[in-house]
Amino acid sequence: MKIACKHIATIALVIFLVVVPVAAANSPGRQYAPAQEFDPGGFLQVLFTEGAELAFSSIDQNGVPTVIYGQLGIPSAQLQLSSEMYQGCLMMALAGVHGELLNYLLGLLGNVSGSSGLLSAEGFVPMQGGSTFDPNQLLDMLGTEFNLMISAFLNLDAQVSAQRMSAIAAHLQSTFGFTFSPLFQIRIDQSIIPEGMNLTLPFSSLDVYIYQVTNEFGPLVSAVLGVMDQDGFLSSFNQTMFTTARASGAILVAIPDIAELMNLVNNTMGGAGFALSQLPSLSGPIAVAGVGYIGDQVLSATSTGLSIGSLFGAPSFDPLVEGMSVVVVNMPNDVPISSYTPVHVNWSFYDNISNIVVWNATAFGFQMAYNLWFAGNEFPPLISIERSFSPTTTGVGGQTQVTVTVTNEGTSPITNLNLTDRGFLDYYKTLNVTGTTSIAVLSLAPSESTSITYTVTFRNEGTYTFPGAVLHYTYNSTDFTKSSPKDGFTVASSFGSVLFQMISDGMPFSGLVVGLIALGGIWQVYGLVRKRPSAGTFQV
Amino acid sequence: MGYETLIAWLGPQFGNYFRPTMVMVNALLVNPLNNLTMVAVWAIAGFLGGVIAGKKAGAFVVGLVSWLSCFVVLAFCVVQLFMGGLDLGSLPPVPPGESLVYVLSVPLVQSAVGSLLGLISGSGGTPDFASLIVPVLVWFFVPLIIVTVAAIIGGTIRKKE
Repeated sequence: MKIACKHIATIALVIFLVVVPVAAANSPGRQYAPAQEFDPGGFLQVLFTEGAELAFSSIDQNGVPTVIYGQLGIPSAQLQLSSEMYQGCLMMALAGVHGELLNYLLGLLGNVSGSSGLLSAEGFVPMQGGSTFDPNQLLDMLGTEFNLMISAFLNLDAQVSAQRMSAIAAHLQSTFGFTFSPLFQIRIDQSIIPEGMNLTLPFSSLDVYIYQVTNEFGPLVSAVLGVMDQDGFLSSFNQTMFTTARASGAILVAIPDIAELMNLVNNTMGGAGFALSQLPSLSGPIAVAGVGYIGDQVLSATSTGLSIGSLFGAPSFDPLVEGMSVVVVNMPNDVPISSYTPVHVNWSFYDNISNIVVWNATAFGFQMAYNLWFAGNEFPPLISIERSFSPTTTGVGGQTQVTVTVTNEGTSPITNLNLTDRGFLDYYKTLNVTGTTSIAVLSLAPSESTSITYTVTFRNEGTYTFPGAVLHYTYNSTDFTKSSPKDGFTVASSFGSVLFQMISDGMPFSGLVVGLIALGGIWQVYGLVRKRPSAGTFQV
Repeated sequence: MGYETLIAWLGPQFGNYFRPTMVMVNALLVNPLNNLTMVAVWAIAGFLGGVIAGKKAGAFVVGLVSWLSCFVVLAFCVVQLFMGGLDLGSLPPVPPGESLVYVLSVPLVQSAVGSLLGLISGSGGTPDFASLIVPVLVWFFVPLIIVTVAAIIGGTIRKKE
């Protein structure tokens, strides 16, 4: 498997946000000395000990951005990780996603559209029975709005851990505006191990609490952002960009004592692994908070540069007063970066193999913009795919007309278009579809559109998932694939329409039941007409 | 909200008898510890039935028939569900805007998963399936007990002359 820049970027991101949390806020030294040359080990150590913020963006081959902003260590004071309620707590993790974020992140790792990646068939996924496991199917089962908080307590009495979990939830609600609903509690202790296994757990008990985060996604992101230090980049970001994108997410991880967690990992797995082993002296509370989104195409054939601020809605970049601020951009491997600004021999770093630019924003201080430039024609023209339903909802037995329109909003033609919208037919066998669900077009000139239209008749109530319509096309001798967002179409359950369809579906038995009820009614009416109480009538 | 998510997700696959089936399952399997709404519904229904009947024996019959009629409706819906044809091989994705977490928030689902987890965590890794059935039977008979007791109370309070 060939390791591409996106894999390196993803691994770095995972390390930054999850695997390598940072010791935070109570560190006495706050003076940062800029590195004289880029040293990954020293760089990580600084992030760990000083606290940091990261503005990360990655552009894919289609010019679509993945944007993440995260802070390390800094939220600890507000979270009160040293208070009694966190004693015995190994970790509290809270995450919320909106839209197809998980699918996109999986795509970043590969395995989507058959692309090579860490999870692809030739990657680390075992092949069993001649077929590969598709993680997308699992993500489809999770849904697009996945908001959970999970906390784990070690070696505590069940009642004590429950009380502390309640206290943590109450504190998060009163201080930051999170709202929760408990889902499950799991207690892992020696009693779950079958006697014949001769296995002794390295702890006496582990209580895991799973809560549903009941905030709407917008307020949830605001709450996560509220946990962060409001200085630094965050002060100039347009925070609505993280809530209005077609796919976005937020995460908060708090570890009251990283040394205790590392000890457990050592005892359980026989070692801390590579990442944690790099920082053996860590102890005390740490926290990581991050928000991110995946947007629409921002770079096209006419683009020759990228302003990082436009991805964050930031008119300027003001780094943290305490801690380190970093800006990172990852461009596709086949788009050489010709220049970038600001540039400094010790404060900026460009790796032309992974195509990543890193700026030490703390050293640069206040900047109006971070930019990079490249040659034109590196990205495809701006192509839009719109899917509309008319009407937008219907009843049982009703129908809707679906129109998928591809528009070339760029200034160059694209060729060999193949538009398909048949994904929903893989799921639903009861649909009746008439019309065209795919089309092939030789060329699409600038400002021109092409579309397909079909009619779907629905027999059952529910919300039908329409996976993204897929467009394959060629530009500049390169093949591209683009898809529209996943849509849901609701077939409403008006009582009359559902009842009629139920009777129709359940014939002849439903007819028998309706007949019996009708006979009973007629018998009652007959009794009333004859002015005598019929059988079964109560005298009130 | 959880039931609506379940119906929105599986309704297209399971057909129009899925909603009434879910309604009757929600009515007939009641964990009194986390579903006080259905406890109240059964209690009020039984009490009103008992008041109308006016006699202890009649009130008991009213409660029993109420529960039995719900059970018959559930059985009919389930039969229709299966006769409509289940195609579990092509389970659709959870629709956009919904989440499996919403389904997990349904009291009955919470009770079932909670019981399962409790059994596993306390049984040396081998769940005792008899212990799994017992809570379900308890939830099944709880509405019957509530409706008949409430009906008898109603019949006692307002005795027919």
